Amino acid sequence: MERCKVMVVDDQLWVRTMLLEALSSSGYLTFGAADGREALHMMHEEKPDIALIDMTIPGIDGFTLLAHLKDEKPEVATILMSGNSDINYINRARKEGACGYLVKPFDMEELKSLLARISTTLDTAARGEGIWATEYWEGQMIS
Amino acid sequence: MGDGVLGRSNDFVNYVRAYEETFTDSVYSISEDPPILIKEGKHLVFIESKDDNDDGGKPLVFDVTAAVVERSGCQLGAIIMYEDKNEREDVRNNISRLKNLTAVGELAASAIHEIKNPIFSIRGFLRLLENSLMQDDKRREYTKIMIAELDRLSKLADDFLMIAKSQEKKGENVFIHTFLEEILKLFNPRFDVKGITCHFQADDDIAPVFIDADQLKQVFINIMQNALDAMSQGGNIYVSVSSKENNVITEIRDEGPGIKKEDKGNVFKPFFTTKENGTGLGLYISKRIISNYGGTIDFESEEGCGTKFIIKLPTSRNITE
Repeated sequence: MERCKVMVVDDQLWVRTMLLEALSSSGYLTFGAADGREALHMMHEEKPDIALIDMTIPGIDGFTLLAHLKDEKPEVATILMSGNSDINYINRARKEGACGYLVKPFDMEELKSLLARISTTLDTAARGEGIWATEYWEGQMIS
Repeated sequence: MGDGVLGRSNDFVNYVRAYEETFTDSVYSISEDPPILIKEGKHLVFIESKDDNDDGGKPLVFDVTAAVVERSGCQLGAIIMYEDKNEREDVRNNISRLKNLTAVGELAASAIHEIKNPIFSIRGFLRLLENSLMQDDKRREYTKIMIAELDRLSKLADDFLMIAKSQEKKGENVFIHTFLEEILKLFNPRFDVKGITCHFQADDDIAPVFIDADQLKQVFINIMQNALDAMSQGGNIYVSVSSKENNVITEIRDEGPGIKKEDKGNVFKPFFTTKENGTGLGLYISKRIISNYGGTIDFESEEGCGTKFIIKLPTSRNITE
């Protein structure tokens, strides 16, 4: 795969900036969105491979955005993130088709290794050697 | 009706006497405790609790009264419905307190989740800063310390949230063996890094327990994390789930250095920790949660021989019976 493109959706400016900075310095193509509407708009233009979405964003929340993505862009792998580590949230994320759930604050190294595994899977699927399973689940990092 | 009316005045005593003279013993016996007072013709009834406490508790308050009258016009007695005003006020106070608590709890929960955002961005930028410094730069050490302290802050926030949450006693049927297996999977990357092998074993036919899954998850994570922290040299962790006499027993045994004799009495006390970055709340919260659901948590440990935590929870079947 060419360089993997990651969409970061978080309404907190400095969280978004930090994530974009950390990912681009690790070689990822990145772009950010501050809320669900902006994300929906940008994902059609920018065509990300992976979406990293905060659960509590204004307007459209993380779960709703995930549903939109599943519907309109099922090829995008979605990772949800939140300060909330409630297991019911995590199970819901899994059921609704997220690939992973990261509990804030997580370490950038953990995020990068998760992204690397997901992009390898996406890559294999793109080459026709594997299937990009909609129920692909990497689980959650315990903060 | 003002409380003053219900005060124990001379009038009151006279009314009671009048009452006693008016009604038959059998009627009186319905409510001889507390004494009843009826104001003739108006069916006005005051009832005062037997506690002769003039400035203390408020009197009972009548609700409905009706005279029972014979065709001849002779009054046989009265039907009285009354309620304890004290109790009504208690209920009202409790409801409003609960509402406040829930509101405060929800506010605290969102506040705590929000605290994670600045911690997260600071932590991330520190990591970037660290990576931009030369390997031998002393400032790398400073960033590491700052990150560790931020992690402690974040853990404290989580712990406080869990303490608030452990007041709730909602729950569901949880099959501990399958639940625990899922939790252990989360630790796989850490087992690998630390050179730890985790051995899991469960009896067949384990009954479910009634507990809040999220709180139970926290208990297992706390104990597993302690086991991991105790085993810097790697080794084995043994986890088993069995049933015994309507209880599900979970045992988690590590091969760490064990708990010092002098520390044994403090293990479940809040803010007691032997870890540099511990909050000292993990086992305190765990015990609180397990006790809330009718279970027990205990440990066996000998210095140099590891530690075994034993969690016993009643099966749901046991609770309903």
